[in-house]
Amino acid sequence: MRKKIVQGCIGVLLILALWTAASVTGLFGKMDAVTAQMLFPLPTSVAAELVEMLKSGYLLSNLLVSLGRVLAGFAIAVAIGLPVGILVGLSENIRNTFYPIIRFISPIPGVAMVPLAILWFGLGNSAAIFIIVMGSISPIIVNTFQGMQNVDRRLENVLGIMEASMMQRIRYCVIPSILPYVVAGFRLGLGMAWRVVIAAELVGVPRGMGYVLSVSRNTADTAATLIVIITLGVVMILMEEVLFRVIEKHMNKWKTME
Amino acid sequence: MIEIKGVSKSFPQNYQEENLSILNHISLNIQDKEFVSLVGPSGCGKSTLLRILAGLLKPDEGEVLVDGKKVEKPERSRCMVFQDYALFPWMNVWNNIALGLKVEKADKKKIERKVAWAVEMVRLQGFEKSYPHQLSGGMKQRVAIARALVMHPDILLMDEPFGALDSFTRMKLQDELTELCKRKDFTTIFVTHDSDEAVYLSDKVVVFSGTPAQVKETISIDLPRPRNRTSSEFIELRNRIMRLGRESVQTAEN
Repeated sequence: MRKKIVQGCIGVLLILALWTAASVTGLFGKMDAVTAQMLFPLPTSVAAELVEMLKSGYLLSNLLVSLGRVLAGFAIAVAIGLPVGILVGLSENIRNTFYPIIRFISPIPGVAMVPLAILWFGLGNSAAIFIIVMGSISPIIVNTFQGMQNVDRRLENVLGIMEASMMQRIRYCVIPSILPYVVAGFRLGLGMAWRVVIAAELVGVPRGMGYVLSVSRNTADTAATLIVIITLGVVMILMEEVLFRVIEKHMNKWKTME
Repeated sequence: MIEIKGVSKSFPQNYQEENLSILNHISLNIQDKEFVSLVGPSGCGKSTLLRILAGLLKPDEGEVLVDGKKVEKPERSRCMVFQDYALFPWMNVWNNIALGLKVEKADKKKIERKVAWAVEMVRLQGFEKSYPHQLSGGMKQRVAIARALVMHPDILLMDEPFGALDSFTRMKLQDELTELCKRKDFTTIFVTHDSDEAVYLSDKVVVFSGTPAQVKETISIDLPRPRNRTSSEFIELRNRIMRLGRESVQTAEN
């Protein structure tokens, strides 16, 4: 474990060293020092700007705006997608009616919805949340439905013999069976949510991390764009580790060591 | 009393227009509290008949009556034990056994009392907190039997329950089942292709012949329990059933 951490740190240091070299030498002599400083700011100046952005609250407030949009949109997507996925799995009629539409929508890139959302909702939170819902709902539905198809028929028979009600079947059999699939769907959905929210903010929805990116591009502030990129990476790792690790650990209790 | 009246069942086959007939006008009566084995070669439809008895499958023709009432759907008075255990992997032993009572919405005290009783009946004390993947095949089947016992079924349907177990474990569980059935709490219908097992456990053995299945012969076993597998009567009955079974395999292959 410790060895792994050390090796990981060595990788990061190598990248930083290469970066610094490019910055100091003007991309190894390919450009003059001023341009190099602008396009490849030294890690130290990036760090200095990070401190600046943190102090002013600029970074955090915009991060919270994006995060709020993602969580709101994702919550709506879950609230709709999970029951829809379960219903599509339970009833053949519902499946035949709605699943073709879902299958049609799901491969469309969520970003393609951005102009439509702006036309419908204007430049604001509603547009961002709409796009997030559209972008993240289909992996949730599709994965939940896949889980439904893999529910063990024998266990359903056991509950049938016990004369379990529909709600009891869902509670004792369906939900635990589909949980791994649902978690995978959430993971994909959350990834999609971040992708589309950044795109929407880049295109014009005010405030948020994409908006910061857009502004820094216009002011040629390379350091700020790098800071946003790195921040997004950190947020992703945190979400992955905090949210999903916990759920998966709980699930593994009954399926380890076969 | 269970009355099976002219039950037929066929299944669609892949790439063929004609359905495959599995059961052909089966008629059979089973008395209350009897232990009846359905014996026959694999694929002869005895498991299909058991599923029809459980209400998990509907017959194409004929009907099954239990105490004069037609079987339409699964009911908790007819519990089933499957060959592959069908335990819930995310529930520990205690929760697996308690499931039927929870579904019934029994009160907590009653659930605790009954589960403790069932755990004792199948000798699983100390394993209540274990998960199915931590148990051996024999123990898993004990859990499945306990899960059925807590429901106090009128009829216990067992579909080759010991088929996947090694012979030592199988004999042990056969003894335990004999012990459980001594109380005559329920009617047992036991599907197996093991004639030794059928003679050891049953009051009556019904031998099925090939495809589509028909009742070839019904044999009463009047030996006192616990039975001696090496006694001449036992061996004679076993050989007779084996012979009948072998004949029906030949019929099926012709």
